[in-house]
Amino acid sequence: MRFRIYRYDPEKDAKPYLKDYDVALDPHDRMLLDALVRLKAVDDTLSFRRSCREGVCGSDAMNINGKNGLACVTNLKTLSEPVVLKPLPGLPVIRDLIVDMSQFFKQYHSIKPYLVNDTPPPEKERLQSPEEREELDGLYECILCACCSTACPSFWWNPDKFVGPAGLLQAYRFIADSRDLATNERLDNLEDPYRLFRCYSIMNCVDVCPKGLNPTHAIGRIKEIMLKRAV
Amino acid sequence: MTTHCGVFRNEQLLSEGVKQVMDLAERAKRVAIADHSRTFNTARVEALELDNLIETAKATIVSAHARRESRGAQARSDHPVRDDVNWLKHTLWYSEGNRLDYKPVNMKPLTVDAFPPKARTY
Repeated sequence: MRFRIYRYDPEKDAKPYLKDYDVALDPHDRMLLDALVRLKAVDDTLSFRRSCREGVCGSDAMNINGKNGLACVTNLKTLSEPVVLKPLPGLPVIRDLIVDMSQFFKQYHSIKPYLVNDTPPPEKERLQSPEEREELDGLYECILCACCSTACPSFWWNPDKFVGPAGLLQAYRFIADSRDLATNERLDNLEDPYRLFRCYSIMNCVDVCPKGLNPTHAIGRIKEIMLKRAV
Repeated sequence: MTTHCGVFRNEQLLSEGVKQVMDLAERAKRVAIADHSRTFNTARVEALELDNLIETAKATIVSAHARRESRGAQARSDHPVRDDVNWLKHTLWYSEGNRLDYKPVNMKPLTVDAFPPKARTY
C-alpha cells in the first residue's frame, strides 16, 4: 500500500517534505496504525505517537487524506492511495507526525475541567438521578485527541483566545453536571468576544470527531444558557 | 509469549518458549537503531522498552516452566492440580545467571488471622 508522509526532523531538515513509502501489509493489518507500525519496522526514523491502539487514548490523531482522525480506528479499506498523512493542522510540529499540544491543553485547562462544589461532601458519593447522569452522555466520552480543535478554522485563527470545540464541549460537560455548582463562574469565564463566540457553527469538529461527539451542539447549549441568564 | 506462555501451558510449549526467548535475548543484545535524532526519538524509546520486555519475558517463562503445578493464573495441562507439598512457595528470578530461587510463604501475617491454605474451587 502506498503512503505519502509528512517528514520533518528539526535537527536535520531545513524544511518539511513529503516522503513516499510502499508498505507490504500483512493480511491481518486492518487499521492505519497497523500499517504505520509495520512501516516503522522498516524506517525507524518515522516518529508518531500511539499508545492504546483502540481509539481510547487519543494519541495517534493525525491528518489522514486531508481529514483529521485517529490512525488506530481508521480502516485501511476506506483510504484511497497514496494515503497522505500529515500532522494535525494548526499546531506547531515537533517532528514528523507529532505536534506540540500545549496550546490545545492550555485552552482545555482554562475552562476548569473538574467538578467545582464547595458544599461539604456527603458520607458516600454525590449522587445523581439516572436522568441527571444522562445529561452527560455525548460529553464525557471526549478523549482529548484534538482532531476537532485542529480542524476548526476559528481555532487556527485564534488558538490563544478561542477555547476551541474540545474545550467548549468539556465546559458544557461541567455546566450540565448536576453536581457542579460553578455554572455562573463558568459562563462568566466564557463571556467575551473570543472564548466562546468565535464559534461560527462551521461544524468541522462534528465532521471529524472519531468518537462521534457533537461539540457544536454543546456550544449552542452554552450560548442558550448564557442568553437565558441575561434576560 | 502469547503462543508459548499463554493461558494454557504445558511442558512442551514452555520448554520451546524458554529456548526462543533466550535466543531473542541474545539477538536483542545486538539491537541497533537508525534514528539518531534527539528530537522525539521513538525508536530509542522502543529499543529501551525491548530490553525491559526481554527481562520480564525471561522472568515469566523461566519461572512458569519450572513450576510443575497449576495455581491461579498458571494453568498447566500436564500438571492440572495444585501441589501445596512442593510448590507452596514464591518464585524469585535473578537476571544474573538466569537462575531461580524460592522463598517460603509467610504463614503468620502481622495484622490479620492466618487461614490455612487450600485449593480454590468455585
